[in-house]
Amino acid sequence: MKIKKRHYSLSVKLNALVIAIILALSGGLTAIAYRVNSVRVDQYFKAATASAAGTVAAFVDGDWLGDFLDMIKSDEYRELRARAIEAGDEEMIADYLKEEGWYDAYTDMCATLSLYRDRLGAIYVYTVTLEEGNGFTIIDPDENLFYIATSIPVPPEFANIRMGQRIEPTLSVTEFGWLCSAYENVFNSRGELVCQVGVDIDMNEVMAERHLFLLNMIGFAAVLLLLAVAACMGLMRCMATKPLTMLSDAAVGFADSDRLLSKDDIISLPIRSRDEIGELYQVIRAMQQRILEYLDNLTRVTSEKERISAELNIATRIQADMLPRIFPPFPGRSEFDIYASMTPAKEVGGDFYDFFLIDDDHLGLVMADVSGKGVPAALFMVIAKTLIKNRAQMGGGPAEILRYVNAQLCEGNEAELFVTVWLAILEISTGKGLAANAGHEHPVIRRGDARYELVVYQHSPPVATLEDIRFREHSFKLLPGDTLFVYTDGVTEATNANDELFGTERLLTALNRDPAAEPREQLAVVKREIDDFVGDAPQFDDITMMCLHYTGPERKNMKELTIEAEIENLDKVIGFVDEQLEALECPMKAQMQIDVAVEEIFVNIASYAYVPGKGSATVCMEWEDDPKTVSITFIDRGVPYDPLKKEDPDVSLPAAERAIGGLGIFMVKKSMDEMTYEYRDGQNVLCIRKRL
Amino acid sequence: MLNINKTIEDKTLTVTLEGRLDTTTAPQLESELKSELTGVTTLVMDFEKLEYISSAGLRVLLSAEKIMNKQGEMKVIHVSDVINEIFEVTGFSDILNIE
Repeated sequence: MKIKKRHYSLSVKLNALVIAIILALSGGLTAIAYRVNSVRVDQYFKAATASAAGTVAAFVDGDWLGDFLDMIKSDEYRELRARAIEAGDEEMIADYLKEEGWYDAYTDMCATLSLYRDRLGAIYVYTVTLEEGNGFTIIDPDENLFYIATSIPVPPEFANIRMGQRIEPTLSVTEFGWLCSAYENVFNSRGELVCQVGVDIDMNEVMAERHLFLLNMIGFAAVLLLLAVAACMGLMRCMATKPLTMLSDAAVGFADSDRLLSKDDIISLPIRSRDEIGELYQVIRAMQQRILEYLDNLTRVTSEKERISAELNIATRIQADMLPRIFPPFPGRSEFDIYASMTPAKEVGGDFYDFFLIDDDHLGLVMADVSGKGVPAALFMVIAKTLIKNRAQMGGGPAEILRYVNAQLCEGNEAELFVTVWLAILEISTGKGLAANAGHEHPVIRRGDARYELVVYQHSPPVATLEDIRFREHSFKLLPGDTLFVYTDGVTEATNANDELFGTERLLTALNRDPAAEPREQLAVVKREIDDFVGDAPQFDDITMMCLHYTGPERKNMKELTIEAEIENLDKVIGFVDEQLEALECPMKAQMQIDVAVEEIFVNIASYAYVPGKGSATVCMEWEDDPKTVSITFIDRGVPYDPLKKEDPDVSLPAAERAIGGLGIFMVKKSMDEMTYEYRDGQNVLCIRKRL
Repeated sequence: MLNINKTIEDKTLTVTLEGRLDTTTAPQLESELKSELTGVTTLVMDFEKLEYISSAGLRVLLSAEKIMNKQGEMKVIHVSDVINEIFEVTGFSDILNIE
């Protein structure tokens, strides 16, 4: 788990937030306090200065100042003053003032102003006139005599001040440092404005105080900040980070545990707070409780499932064991070769095959498919299979057997299951058989060396659909070399990802890929073809197949040839027949007659049986001793044609009236001892017999 | 297997057959005869060495007989018992001039 680092980032974030808030708060507070304090102090000093200026203005002698002003503005004085300044001799001005009788009053005024200055705590008290943007000094006790009538620059804020206008006190930084300056108008006894009194109060100390205050505030804020951050971090750690870390560690321990969890694994931590973390802790505990309960449940359900699955496995094995699975099943029997397989779709399926010897000469063959799937179908299958086999072993034809089984199965068939059955009973010695098809798939048959073909005919309804069904029954005959293939709809209805069905066409193609293959190999080929076709799509239905190759009873006095029915093959057929005849020491004449008969019949088959297509013919030679007799059977699957029904040609007609043709069969009839024709199972079977 | 030997002397064509006259070989004889029969008045078929005849062979004989009936005569000579029996069974012994 990689969540260890997380809580650092959480506390860093929170601390940064706290610092920012305190900085903003203390900065704002300091600024406001500083500002309020400054304004208040400034106002106080301005008022005090203005009041001082007012006091001085009320007590100075306005009349005298008016006269003195007039005097110093006079040209005479100006000249004197200029000279005195030029000479650097202050005494010249003092002498003049004494001479003109101003000096004493001047020094008195200076003393008065000084007195006010000291009493009022000002640093400068002086008189000036402010007019037209220019200052003009009158009396300043702190200056020498040269200073009288000096033009002084007026601060910019006074630039537009007119004589007599009220002047607001100001704060300014001058060459003397911070000063608060106020001016008050001085009037003479006639109430005329004479000049202004200026009072400057030293503000340097106040300003220094103010800076100190600011520094204190900042220092205080910094200390506050540190304390707050420390407290916040401590609190965070105590209330959030630490419990969260504990919670997360405990949860990780729970989550990562690789052994079976029990109630003891529910986290237990010293968290008693009732805040969100406390709540989270309780919620996690509740969640773990639920998880454990769920696990408990799951374990129970899983073990239940395992039990059912184990039982189903046993059921599958029992079902599989019910089907004959040991091949070859009858090692002593060489008349036929049989192989069958079932691949269930679910654990247990509804398909089954069966084969059993009813007696020494009769083989029962069953291929069936119970409707539905799973356990119900399997149970039904077990009953159906047992009933069919038991009833079949009591004797009787397939229709009779199915009628009995149908009656039994219909009894109490609440689930309304039914079963399609193909049932055949084969007489092993002759290849003759009886079959009934109760709604099952069409069987596939391969006659001799021909191709596998579907045998399509009308079926009876499936077993267990209705009571009292009469099942159709038909006879068939397997000749040595024939192969029978039966299957369930799991084969033809195997579906691929595109929802296409495997179908009978693909089945026939698969079977005809190597039609001569043995039953076991054929089933493997078909299964492989189905698997290739279906791909990754799931198997919906049981896939069941059975293949029987009939070799017939071992006969020493028999030889057989199956060959394409082509005139080019005539020599081969004649060669085959002659070989046997020579071995039997057949007289020349009989051999020729037989040759003619074989030629006529084979050429007939080759020329007419499969027109316009092609097909094969089987020539089977059998012979007996005492009396020495040969019989030859011709079998083809072409158009039904009975040559015996053909009218004999009139052999008494003269040459001109003779038709060309029709002579061949006539010759055969005349030269052979016996000639029989039969059409059965879609085959022309023509047999000739000749005593040697 | 059928060997066909032909000799013409004056307007007499002698055809000697050796082997089997069956479905496979009959067309061979038929085409040989067709190309040779023009102007022939006597056709002699020598069956001394013929081992076998089937209906396909009979058919060729019949058509040769029909042609020769119009332009002269046809004789079959040295017929073996076995083949003669076939001729008898099929009524060919009445049609053909067998010597």
